[in-house]
Amino acid sequence: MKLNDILPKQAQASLGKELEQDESVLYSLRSDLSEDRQYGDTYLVATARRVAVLSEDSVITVMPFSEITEIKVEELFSSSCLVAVTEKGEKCLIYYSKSFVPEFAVFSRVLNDLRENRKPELPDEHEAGHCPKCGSQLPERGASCPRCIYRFKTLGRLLKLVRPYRFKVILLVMMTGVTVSSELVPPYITKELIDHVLPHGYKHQLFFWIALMAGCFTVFLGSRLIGSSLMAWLGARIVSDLRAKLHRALQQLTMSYHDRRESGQIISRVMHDTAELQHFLIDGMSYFLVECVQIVAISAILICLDAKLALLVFVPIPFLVGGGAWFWKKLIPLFHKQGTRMGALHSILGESIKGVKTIKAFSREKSRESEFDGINEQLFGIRYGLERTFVGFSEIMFWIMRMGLAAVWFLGGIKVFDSGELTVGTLVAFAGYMWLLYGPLQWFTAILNWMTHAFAGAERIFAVLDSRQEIYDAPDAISVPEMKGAISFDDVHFSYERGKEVVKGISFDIKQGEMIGLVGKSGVGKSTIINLICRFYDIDSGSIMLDGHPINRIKLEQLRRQIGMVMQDPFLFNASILENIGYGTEDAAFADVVRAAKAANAHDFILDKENGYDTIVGERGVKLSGGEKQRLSIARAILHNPPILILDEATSSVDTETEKEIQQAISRLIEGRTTIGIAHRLSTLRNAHRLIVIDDGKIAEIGSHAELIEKNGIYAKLVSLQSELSKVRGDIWQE
Amino acid sequence: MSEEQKKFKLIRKLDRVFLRYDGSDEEQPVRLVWPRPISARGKEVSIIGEGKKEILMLDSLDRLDSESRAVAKEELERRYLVARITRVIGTQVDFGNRYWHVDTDRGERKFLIKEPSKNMIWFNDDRIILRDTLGNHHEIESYSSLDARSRAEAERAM
Repeated sequence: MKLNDILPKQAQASLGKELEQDESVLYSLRSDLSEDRQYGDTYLVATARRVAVLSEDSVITVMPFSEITEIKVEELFSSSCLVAVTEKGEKCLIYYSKSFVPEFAVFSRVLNDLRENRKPELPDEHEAGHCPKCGSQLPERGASCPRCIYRFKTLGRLLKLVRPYRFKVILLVMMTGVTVSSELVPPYITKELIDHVLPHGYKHQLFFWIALMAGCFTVFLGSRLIGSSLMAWLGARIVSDLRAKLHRALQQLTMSYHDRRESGQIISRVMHDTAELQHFLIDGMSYFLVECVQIVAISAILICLDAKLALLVFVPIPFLVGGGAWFWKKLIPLFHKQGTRMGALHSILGESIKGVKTIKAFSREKSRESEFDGINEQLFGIRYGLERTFVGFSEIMFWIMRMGLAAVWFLGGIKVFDSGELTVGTLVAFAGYMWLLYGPLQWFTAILNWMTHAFAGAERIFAVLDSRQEIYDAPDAISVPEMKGAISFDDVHFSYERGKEVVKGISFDIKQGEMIGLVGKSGVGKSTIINLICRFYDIDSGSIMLDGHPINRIKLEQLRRQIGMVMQDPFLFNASILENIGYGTEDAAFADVVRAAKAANAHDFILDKENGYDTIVGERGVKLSGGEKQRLSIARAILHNPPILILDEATSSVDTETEKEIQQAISRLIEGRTTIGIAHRLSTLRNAHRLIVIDDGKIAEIGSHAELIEKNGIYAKLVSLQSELSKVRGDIWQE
Repeated sequence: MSEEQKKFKLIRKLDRVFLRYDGSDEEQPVRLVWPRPISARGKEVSIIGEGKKEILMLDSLDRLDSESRAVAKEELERRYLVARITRVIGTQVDFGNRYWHVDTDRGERKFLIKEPSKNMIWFNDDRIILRDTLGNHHEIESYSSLDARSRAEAERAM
């Protein structure tokens, strides 16, 4: 990432007057909001000694770092500002819209580094919000610009995918040639029949030409069948390969990629975009290939037959192509509108079905009906508009073609009568070729449009494939096949989104086999610390060491294999209980699975089910209760046998009886392992060796339960609040 | 006396607002927010104190004395950036992306909207909030009051 936006000359000159001789601009960044929050360019610049804000032509503020105690981001609605905290108070240096959030977040860190005489480090990556080529806003940060899609580049990438199947492609090209040739011969045969065979009664020639015609039709059929089948195979093959690549890439993409996107959006990439591409490659591409060759060949034949008449045939072409372009321009917004209304209708229908109980309970059936009817009516209007436009277009195009045909018959007829330059056969052949020429032309724009859409889908697929993936085995990665479980955090800073730091300089050491409880209110960063230990995210600065090795240098697969997790809502796959317990330990013997299930207090409830260990748990384990899912997750962790164990609210969603059973299972599980537990019910962490209290992304307190109670700080307050809450609950029940 | 009943003043110091109860010297830094910034901006105002805890909610700024009201207005104006669209210069729909080029009370702007069902929010069939892909908000205060060309352009992207 670079922070060196070019400053306007006048602003540069004004700034020059403020700076000392040996002082130069190190970093500069443009904002899109002026001081009074109008849209306009403002610049933030940093030298080694101060920060300055410039308008297009003058200096607005200059502030030496010596006066600033901190630079921070203040998030506002639809905008943000960079604030300088001074002894006199807080001063907003520069405002910027949401378009520049990541850039200014980095700039704020740079300014703080400069202020503390540290060398700023700029991140390598930068996910721009605007296209660097055309300046248009992008559909999402870092995405490719749909307006700048270079179709041939995308086609090139798609062609690379066909390379393993090149012989089939060569055969396809040959078949296309044969198809076009066999289609072009019959009109010529008609000419010969009319001009030479029929007038003179050459019966033997009649048989020859008819046999040739029948042969052409047969060859056409054969080549068409082979070509279509090849195209279908290639299209399906490419898309299947692409889908597999996409799935593989999705498994290896960073967690931040998945955080920023809804699962529906990702599934749409895998299914919808690939299906669209497949549809185009199979149907569109073969049509496009055949018609392109055919148009060139027919044009050449027409010119050879009669150049002057051929020019007349070409007259309606601009109308056909132009009309097609105009028509699609009109039609596309209607298609989008139809898609939007259809989506809204789907959504209402889905809610009406899924939420039927709530709708009935609140007697909202009528309002749901009117909401549905309103959008349904809109959809009717759009659908009608679409069909009307479509029929109108087709009929007008046919009219143009027929007028072209009439003109050719008229002028051609005069030529036949007057000079005998043209034979009747040639004129009939002309008419035949004309239909072959005009037909595909009217759909040419549609095909190009279809191609653009399919290629846009391909672009989106390639964008996923090109996204940053987790590096599982860096060349300098260290192999640590058996970890002991010592963890150390040193001044760790982390933010999911630049500018919003969640972990703010945390340092602690966890000894091998120690049990640590992470305590604090919701959203203070406890789960984030767990995510960082699992290296689901890379830290912004500082270091995390496992057994003395930097976490980012340990082979990722080895690292994660040595961490076991029991989560609040464990994810179970739609498979059997046996497969779910054995997930990640597929080579485990059944006896080991049973041992783990017993240790997790799960064995008895499993046997109580009709299909025992073969019970299919349903999607996300829907057929099991919260406690059962939890115990399967513990069994999975026991079988996995990791040196580091993470318990994230493992008992929060179960009743007291089940909690007791789970607690027993957990105490068996944590023996001899480094364990990090998060729990809102503080009583469950009472036996931890140490508790780390997190507040606003920082460590507020560390110590054992007894020590922290004695300290009478945040932890003691939380404990007393919880005991008060239990008392209140008790009182309510007694009442 | 509850927080609602106590009299207070809002004071601006540089770019930060402070609250001071009458009869007290203590000033606490506060944030002023609209509880319904999209559906009913301009109605209730919440005053948030330290620890992100609400101190009180005002039905309107009229309850404040003139100085505090001016401070509150200025602060809310500073915090909430919603450009009011006065003219739609052009729109384009490409691959489901809606490109808008508009004139606003804050100057000309180009932005992109995806998923219109989520990001074009209609109120009373006339007021529209448009949320672009980067999280910026734009508002058409009255769709029917736009000129005919603007409406035709907007219609294409809706």
